[in-house]
Amino acid sequence: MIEDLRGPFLDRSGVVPPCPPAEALWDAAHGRGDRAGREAIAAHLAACPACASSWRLAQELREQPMAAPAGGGRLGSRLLWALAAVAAGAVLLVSPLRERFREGGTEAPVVYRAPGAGEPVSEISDLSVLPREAFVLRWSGGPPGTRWDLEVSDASLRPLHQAGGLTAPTQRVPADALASLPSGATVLWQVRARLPDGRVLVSETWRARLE
Amino acid sequence: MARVRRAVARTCPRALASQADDIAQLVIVRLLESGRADGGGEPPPTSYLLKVAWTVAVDEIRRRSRRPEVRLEAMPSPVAPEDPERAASSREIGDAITACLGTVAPSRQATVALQLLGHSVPEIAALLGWSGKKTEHLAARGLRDLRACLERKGVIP
Repeated sequence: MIEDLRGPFLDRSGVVPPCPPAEALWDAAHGRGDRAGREAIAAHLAACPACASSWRLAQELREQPMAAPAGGGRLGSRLLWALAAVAAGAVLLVSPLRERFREGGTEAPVVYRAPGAGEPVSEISDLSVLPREAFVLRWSGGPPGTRWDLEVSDASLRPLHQAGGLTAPTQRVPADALASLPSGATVLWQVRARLPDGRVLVSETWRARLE
Repeated sequence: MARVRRAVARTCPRALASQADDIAQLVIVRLLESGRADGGGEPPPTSYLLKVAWTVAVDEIRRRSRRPEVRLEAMPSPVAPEDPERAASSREIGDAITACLGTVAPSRQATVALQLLGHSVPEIAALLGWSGKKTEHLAARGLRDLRACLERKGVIP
């Protein structure tokens, strides 16, 4: 019976608008890229279950370090990829909806999910080209009282600049720290948020390019 | 190579398991093209490795989905095969959600889709660069629209 359902189900995906490039989807899932592009991709997820399940996996990868070798730890990924058959996702998608609908109000309550809140998010686009004399990194995330540590390295992970206990989510990397890099070099940077409640949240590694 | 294989194992769907080695090779090619795997320098950061592995896997899935002779077998069933009734219901609801979301404004589509994918309102606000208030408003309105549409379709009693 399930095989009979796969055909119509997958045929449905044939009318989905063209999908964004995979890299753009990944970047949007990590809050990167221009705002309009992120909005367009998020709206695309509503129509494209395949991209939606890919998005879920991207989020899962973001939340979990690559510590566990392939094996039992793959179960979550497998389940997520199983959703790629699209309609399938409806089971998971509708469950929370049903819970909300049962509450009977005219406005569905918004459900907040704690994990992820406060995690640093880059405020500059991936691979932004920044001038050597004004290499300003910006990010957001974290409640008032959050302190941030910043680590900047070159593409080979050689440390270039570090700053700790920052009270503002921005930092200008001194030109001296970038002196050894040629124009066009990729710079990696990562932020560690120290929240007032004691939690420490580490960001993705972001990229910028030296003008 | 071991790190690449691990990254591929994390990102590769089971349906592509038999192509894992090929995908790993594609990952290495992309790393080489990007200058991040020249063999002489430091290895690429894990986050970057995962990104490349993930994009290669997604591209491969898309490529296979354009080949109808393989796509039906490629994707695993999301619902237990022994439960056809549930599968039918799942498909019906999934189709209804997709149809209903297509009728709401794009900004509401975006917030509802992200909520359905498990994001909280603050996360959506951060992802889309919106204020919390705007996001909360759009999320509530979007869910209301979706609920009304599903009720009209008789999907949600």
